[in-house]
Amino acid sequence: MANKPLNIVLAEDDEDDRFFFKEAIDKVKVKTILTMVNDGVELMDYLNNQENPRPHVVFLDLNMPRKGGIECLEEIRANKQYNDLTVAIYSTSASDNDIEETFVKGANIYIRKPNDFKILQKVISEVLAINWQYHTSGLNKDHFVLSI
Amino acid sequence: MKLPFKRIKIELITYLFTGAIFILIVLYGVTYKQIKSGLHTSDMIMHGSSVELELERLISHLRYAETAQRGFLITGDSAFLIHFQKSWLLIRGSFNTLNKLLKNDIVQLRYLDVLELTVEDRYRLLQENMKQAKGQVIVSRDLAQKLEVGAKLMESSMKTMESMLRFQDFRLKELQDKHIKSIINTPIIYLIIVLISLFIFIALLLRINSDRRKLKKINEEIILTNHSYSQAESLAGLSNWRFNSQTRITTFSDNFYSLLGIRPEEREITMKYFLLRIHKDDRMEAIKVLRRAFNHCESFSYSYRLNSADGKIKYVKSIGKLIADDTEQRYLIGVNMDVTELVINARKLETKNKKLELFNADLASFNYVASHDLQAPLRKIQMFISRIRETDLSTMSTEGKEYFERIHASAGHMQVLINDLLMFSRTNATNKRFELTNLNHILDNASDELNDLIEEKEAVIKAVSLPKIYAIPYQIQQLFINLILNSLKFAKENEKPVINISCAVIDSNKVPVPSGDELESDRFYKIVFSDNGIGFDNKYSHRIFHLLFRLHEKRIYPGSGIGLAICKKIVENHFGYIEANSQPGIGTDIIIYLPVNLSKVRKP
Repeated sequence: MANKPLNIVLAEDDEDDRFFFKEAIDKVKVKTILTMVNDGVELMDYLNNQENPRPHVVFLDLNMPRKGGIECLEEIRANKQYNDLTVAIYSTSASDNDIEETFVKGANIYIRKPNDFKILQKVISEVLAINWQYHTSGLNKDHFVLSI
Repeated sequence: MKLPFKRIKIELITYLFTGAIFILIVLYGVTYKQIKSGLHTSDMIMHGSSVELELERLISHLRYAETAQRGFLITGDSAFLIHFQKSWLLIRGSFNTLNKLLKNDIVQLRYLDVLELTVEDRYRLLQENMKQAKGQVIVSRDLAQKLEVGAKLMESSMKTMESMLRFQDFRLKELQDKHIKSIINTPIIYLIIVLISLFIFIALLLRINSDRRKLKKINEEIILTNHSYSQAESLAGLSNWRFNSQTRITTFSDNFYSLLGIRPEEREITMKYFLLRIHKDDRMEAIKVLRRAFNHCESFSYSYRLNSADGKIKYVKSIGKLIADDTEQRYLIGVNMDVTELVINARKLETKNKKLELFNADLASFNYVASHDLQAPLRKIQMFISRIRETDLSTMSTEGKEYFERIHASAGHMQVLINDLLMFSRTNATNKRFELTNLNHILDNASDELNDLIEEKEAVIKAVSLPKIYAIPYQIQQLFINLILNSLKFAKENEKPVINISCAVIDSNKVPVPSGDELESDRFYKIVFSDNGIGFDNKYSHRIFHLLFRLHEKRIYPGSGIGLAICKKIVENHFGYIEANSQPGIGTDIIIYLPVNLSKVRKP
């Protein structure tokens, strides 16, 4: 497990945000393979293509063209195949509605995009460090929004 | 309005009348009997006199016979014989008459028989005397004897006749007595009957009079009630009609005419006319509703449009029901209310509501723009700043560093501003859920949130026990956070901040309410946040609650100028009031007034 890199997918339409994310994840100590897609349609295509390796964690932006994060979340949770896929919402929005809705629809964690690079690094390493298999069972709304 | 229904007792009058008629019949019967008995008496008197007359005649006939005999005896002239024969015929005639007259009176008939025998004896004697006398010389001794017998017989007849006359008198007297007796009673009976009739008639008169008065009073009251009812109808925009199932006639109230836009004198309204005036899309349904109410004896309620004569469309709501009275008559009654104004107002309100909803939607999208689209670029700027600070700050010139730090501070300030504006607009949001909230818990949460800062400043927060109120919890928490934050921010540099939180219940008349405001409660909680900070000139005590108002330079006391505006908004959302009282160098009191029985005002 320690040697095996984590497959991570980032669905994000903003180029700068993809850039920050890639820089930050490169600095994280965990071995990862990062795949980046530009929107929800690309994400679902990627996930539905059986040739692609199964990702461990999907970082999902909410506000994307063509297909938004909420729609992707619904599709993922409707598919039994992705039962154990960890979905981390990664959004600028901190609105209660978005938090509520994504929680109800089965996201694992909600990350508000930080405005400091160091914090971004921390957030990513934190999320990757969680052993989701055990974490899910104790999931509750108080810990849903990640605060660093 | 209640009509004074006084029942008039028809039965009593009927009974009295029947009694009066019965008494009149009795009166007639008694009178008839009286008259008849009077007639009978006078008949009897007449009859008595006839008998008397006839008896006297009989006597005179007998005398006539005797005279004739005497004449014959003395003269021997046969002419006297003829007279004698004639007298006999007359005597027989008298007996016949008497027989007829007395045929019902056994006593008298017996007398008459005796008389007849005596008279016959007398007559025979006379005849014998005459035979003896015929052609012979009268033996005077024998004749004298016979004459004496004759005189005796005559006397006996006379006596019988006298008895008969006396008896007749007696009979008459008896009858008269009886008649007089009944006649003496008559006035008393009449008097009694007349008195009873009089009594009954007076009773009837009184009764009828009192009923008439009652009727008059009821009539007057009905007229008054009708009058005020029609006034009330026109005032309330109501009208009514009633349909009589027997006569098939519908009566409409005056106000119904004005509902249809016509004057009562203009034309008669019929049910058909009314139905034709209902908007064609509503007409069939209206007819169905009325028919159902009529056939199934149901109440009905129906709203429809009416084409008024002046071309306007009126909105009318009708309710009604079928009413049956004792006489098998059925009335379908309808009360109509002109709801045109209500409908129009409701429409206006609906339009306004829609606009408001649109406006709210706009606001929501603005919120989203503020929270997402405005923040995203700012966040990226800050991200790049953090990257540069981390990696390249050391290689910059002193001036560059200085500028860069200012960029960093400005970006930070902008973020605070955006967040606070967002917070302010969220305070306005319509989603306000009131729940029973323990203010002590809310204060604890607020302190926890500010824990780092409180520790850093070594601040002390002292609070009395706070009440439980109906409130929007997150808003009250925001209010407490903002107030504590302000006290910490404007603390004196050389003094540890102390915040005292007190609470008391006061009467509403001690609440500084802007004039014209209606108070939501008669008692209020007065919660005071009192600090030992730098304070401010009290002339600003109102303006500090205005949006974006600042008292200090940003560099010394950074802030958006929105915090207290949010506080004011939150307190107003809870139907309360907020004010400030400050003395420079001593400290500031922020006073919040919240209604005690908010639950009654705005139940969640």
